[in-house]
Amino acid sequence: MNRKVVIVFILTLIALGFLTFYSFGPSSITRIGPQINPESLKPAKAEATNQNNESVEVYHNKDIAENFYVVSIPQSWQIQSTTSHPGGYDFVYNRGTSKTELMDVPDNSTLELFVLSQEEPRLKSLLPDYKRIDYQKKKVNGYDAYQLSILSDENGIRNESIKTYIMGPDRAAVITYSLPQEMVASLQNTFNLVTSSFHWENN
Amino acid sequence: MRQIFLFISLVVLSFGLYLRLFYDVPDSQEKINFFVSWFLIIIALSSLLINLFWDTKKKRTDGE
Repeated sequence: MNRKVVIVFILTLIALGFLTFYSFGPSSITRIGPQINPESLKPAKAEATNQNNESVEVYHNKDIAENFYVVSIPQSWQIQSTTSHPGGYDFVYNRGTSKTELMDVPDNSTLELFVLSQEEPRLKSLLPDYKRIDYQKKKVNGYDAYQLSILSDENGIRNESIKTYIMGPDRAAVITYSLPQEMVASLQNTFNLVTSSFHWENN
Repeated sequence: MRQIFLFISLVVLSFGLYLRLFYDVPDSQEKINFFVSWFLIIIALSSLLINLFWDTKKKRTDGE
């Protein structure tokens, strides 16, 4: 048999073995897929205030190419760096939580179709006593967005979640506010300011 | 026969490159896409090399 062919065959087997180990080995999770960029977790130093005259921290998320974005968060909200995920942040404030994240929308779907046919059924099956209270199409800094407000029961407390899905260049951004229903009215203005501070950096 | 083998290798290579570079991978399937695309690329490249190195000359028999 041709010696070169044998060498190519052996090299192929070695390469496939290495590929399998690299793809499914013990540390594959940290290598494949989006990573957290340490810069994303540091808010911009410049002091800024929103229309409520609250001090805000401006976060530039640079985790996923094509989907860099900026969002301003009130300084009183605490970032949960331990639960951070690529392309997103978790925040806590008095009795409530907030989350920004990037969501993959398949090319053969639209954001609205995806929200109504995938996201809402997923939330319905996940949250006890789910009830939709509002759904509306809106604009966030000129980007098409869809806002879904829902009620659910968490440990006997009626919780309201407001999820805003913002159309993006590749993925969509999702900003979620979740807190006891009776507190929503008092923080609605702050939520509106956070949502309206969102913009994509790539375009 | 050799041309068919070459053609199949090129098709497999193209498909591997498509999966690696252009396919919109859902977030949950990045790992499997990484594996499958590189698997196809490696197999196709080695097939091309084997095709290139394969000795097609017929061995002479002692009687000739």
